[in-house]
Parts: sequence; C-alpha cells; structure tokens
Amino acid sequence: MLTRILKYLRWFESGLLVSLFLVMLLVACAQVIARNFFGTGFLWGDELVRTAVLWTTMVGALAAIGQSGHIRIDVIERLLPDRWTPILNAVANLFASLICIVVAYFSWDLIVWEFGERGSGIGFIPSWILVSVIPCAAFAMGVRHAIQAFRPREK
Amino acid sequence: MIFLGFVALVIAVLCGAPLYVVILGVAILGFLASGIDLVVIGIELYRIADTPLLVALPLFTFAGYILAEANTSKRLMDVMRALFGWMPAGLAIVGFATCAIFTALTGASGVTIVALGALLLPMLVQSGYSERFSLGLVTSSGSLGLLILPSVPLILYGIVAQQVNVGESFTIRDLFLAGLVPALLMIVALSIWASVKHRSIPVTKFNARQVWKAVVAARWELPLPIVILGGIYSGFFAISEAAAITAVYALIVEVLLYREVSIKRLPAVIRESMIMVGSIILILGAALVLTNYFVDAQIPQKLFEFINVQISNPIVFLILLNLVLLALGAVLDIFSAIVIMVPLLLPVAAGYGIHPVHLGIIFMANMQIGYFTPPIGMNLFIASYRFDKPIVDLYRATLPFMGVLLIVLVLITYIPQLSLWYQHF
Repeated sequence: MLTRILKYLRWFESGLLVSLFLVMLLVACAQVIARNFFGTGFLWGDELVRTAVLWTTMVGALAAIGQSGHIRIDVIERLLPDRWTPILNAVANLFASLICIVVAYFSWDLIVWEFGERGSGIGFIPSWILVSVIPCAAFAMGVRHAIQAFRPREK
Repeated sequence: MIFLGFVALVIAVLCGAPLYVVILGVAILGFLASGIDLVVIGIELYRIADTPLLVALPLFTFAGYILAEANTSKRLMDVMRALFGWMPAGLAIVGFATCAIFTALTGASGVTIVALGALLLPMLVQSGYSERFSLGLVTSSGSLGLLILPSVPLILYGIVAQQVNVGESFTIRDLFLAGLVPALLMIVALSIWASVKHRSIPVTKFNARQVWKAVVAARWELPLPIVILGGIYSGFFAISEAAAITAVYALIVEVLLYREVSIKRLPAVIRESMIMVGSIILILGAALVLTNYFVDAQIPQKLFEFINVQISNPIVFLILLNLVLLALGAVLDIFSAIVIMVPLLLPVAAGYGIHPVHLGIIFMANMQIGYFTPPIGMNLFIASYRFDKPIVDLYRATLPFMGVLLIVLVLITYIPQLSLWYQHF
C-alpha cells in the first residue's frame, strides 16, 4: 500500500519537475530572443522563471529525500558497522522531519498574508499560490522524512 | 531548552542528517534564543525567488547532465589528443586540459572521474606512464575546472558573495575573468611537471588528418564552448542568458543530432539534474536564513574583531585562511562549504583588504585541492570505487599532484594581480 502511494508520488514529483524545467527553459529562451532581436524583455517572464526556480528547488528537495539525495556528512556511518545504519537513519530522518514541520508551521503565515493582502502575482496566478509551495513542500518533506526513517536507505 | 536543542542537533549531525536540516536547525535555535519570530524562515526562503542569477544553476546543471549522458567526453578527448598529443608527455597534458574543460561543463561532482577517467586511465598506462602517475592524474584532475566557465560552484560563490555585499561590487563575469589565469597556471604547472617526469616516453607525430577527423566527429559540440566562452567573456551574454542557450543547444545536439540521449530518457535526466539543483539551492536558502541570524547577532563583526586581535598581518591571515579552507574542502562538499563559510569569511577577509573576487579564486583553489585531500576527500572515494583500487594507493598517487597545485595555490594567494588583472581592462 505504502509502496504504491510512494510510486504515485514519484510520478507526481517527476511530472512537476519536468514541467517546471520546461517552463524555465522555454521562458528563459524566449527572453533571450526577445531581448537580443527585438530589444525588449517582458517583466512577467522574469518573474515566472524566478518563481519556477523556487518551485523546482522545493519539489526537487522533496524528491531527493526518497532517494537519499541530500548532501550530508556521513563519516560516522562509514566508521560504524552496518548494523548501526538503520538506527542512524531513523534518528537523522526523524530530526529532519521535525525541522521541516517547524518550517511548514511557521511559514503558513506567508499564505495568510498574501491571501489577505490580495497580493498580485503573475498574470492570473495570485501571489498566495506562488508562495504556497514553501509551507506545502516543507510539510510534504516532513512527512517524507518520517516515512524514510523506517525504510532502508537506498544505495 | 536551547541547550537541549543544541545537543539534539549535534546528535542529528553525527547520525547523518541532511545539511539543509542542520543549517535550518542552527538558525531556528538562534532565532529562539534571541526571541525572533520564526516566520522569518519562510520570508528568507522566499528570497530564492528574488535572485535572478539563480536560474543559471538549473540550466547549466541540466546541460552538464545531458553532456555526461552522451559520448561528449570521448569526442572532446579525441580533439584534444589530435591537437596536443604530439607534445612531450602529450597525453598527460591532454588529460589535464580535457578534465578541466569537462569539469567546468559538468561541475566537480565526480562525473569527470567516472566518464573521462575510465577512458584516460588505460590509455595512459598503455602509452608507458606508470600506473601510479596515471591514477594520480585522473583522480586529481577531477576537480581541475572549478575556475573555468561555466563552473556552477563559482557562480554560486558569486551569488552568495553578492548577497553579503561588503562594498566592493563585482559581476559573475569578473569572477570568471579572474579565474582564467590561475586555472591556466595550474594546468601549465602540472603539464611542466609531467613532461619533466616523463621525458623518456616517445612522442607521437602531429597528424593533420587525425585533427580533421576528430573535429568532424565533434562538429556539433565544438561551437558550444565557443558560444559560452566568447559570449560571456566578451560580455555579449548575461550568465543566465548563456545558461539558457547552453541548455537548449546541448539538448538539441545530443537528442536530435547525435541521438545519443533518447527522448524517452529525458524525463529521467531532468529529474536527476533537478534533484541535484533542488538540494543545492535549498542549502543556499537555508544559508540565507542562517546569514540573517548571523547579521542580526553581528557574528561576522565579532569574528573579525576576535581574529584581528590575534592576527594583525594580512599575510598570516591568508596562511590561516588556506589551512582552514583546505581542511574544510576535504570534509564538506563544495556547495555547503560556499553557502556556510562565505557569509562569515567575506566580511573578515574584507577587513584585511582582500578583494571579494580574489577571495573567491582562493576559495575555489583550496576546495579543488580539498577534493582529493586525505583521508576523506570525495574524489578519492569515487576513484577508489571506479578503478577498484584501495584508497591508500590513491593517497600516494595523488600526493605529488597535490604538491604542484599547492605551489600554484601559494602563488594565487599572495599575488592578487594574478586574479585581479581584469580590472585594468
């Protein structure tokens, strides 16, 4: 059951990452063409690319948890015998989960503020949706770390 | 309470918690101790979307992943070999130059050792170079291109340094111009040493037909360095523009023209490269949060005052800086080292009159050597795994290379003009 959900989550992450990347690539190229051949850029394009970088960061970081892709110092793990690995993995991931949940909880206010102020985003996308990726992804990362605490480390 | 949190943090670090979590943890404890509302974390993380230069990271990283996936490394080496193989110790020189360019394109993530090392090592041994020398070459050259465009770590240094802002303004282009001479100096020094050591190896003849064949094989990829290098060094393209062009160009060339990366494979390449980028930029975001606390608690000033009492001489400070950075480069990966140390070091170094661009070059040169510094430099492990050699053999093999590079490091550190020459143009 859990394995199945994680598989769907993986597809979802991949789909989001590919779409975000294509947005970055296409808009950034359109900007280069516009600037060098027509002498004008478009402001919303820059905003869109910068926001896509933020979203890619958060989704990429979420996807990294599932495949132990985050940079960490693993000196102790290399020194200790293998039977210690599950314990180290559980402690590290539970701590990470706690930090992510704290970040998610306290950055929720970003959405509340932007929603209340009706901040203008990009085109028809309101700004509260743009910032929502921080608390939402942080929460998902907290959950993912908690799950990962009880699964064997990949690689 | 804060103390307990700190203990928990240390335990988490030892258990191998991700670095972004550790950095955020330190920041959270700091904010709690000084009574700052934690909502500041979200606000600082949102600054990721406020930094226009950052888009260069995903685009260049993707281009590097695509090139590493295709046979670019082989074609690049064939061209280099045809061009420079006739020189004394030609193959070694070709090795240094090719590794440097490939590392600049793909980042010093170990791809160079895995992709190029496997080609280069048997070739070197066959041509009569000792196995120890050959192993040392492929291991130590895996980080040789950090100062050459479009090295992602140097771009990241620029982004972080500009956030800190110590009064001296500079552009990313300045950084890469500054890196040119030191990078060339390293390659030349290594080449001279190699050709003196291997005088006895017979030289091959220059063959124009071979050059033509290699150039034709690499015809689609050769314009790439010319467009990036020419475009950025001349100031025609901004870094983010060059990144977009590089990504699209690499995509078209490898998928449509060489057909070495299938369209079906693309989503996986995008996923892998964006996971890499995500984990780097998140560490950067976490470091922005931590820097906010540092500035609030005036830690850089206190650090400078503390060090300034002990050391008044900039030369002594530079020696110490090199020692600290070398040790750091061996323990931490380059991206974490940049985002954690630069906000602290930059104001202190500025206090001793060191230009931020010069500091960047010193920083990269140290990290480059740190990559293969015993006992735990990352490239030693990658090479040990890839070539199936005990790690102690690699310690011995890389030692002379480290010696040569340390001499260059001293030159780079104490002759700022080697880096800052671009200011006179």
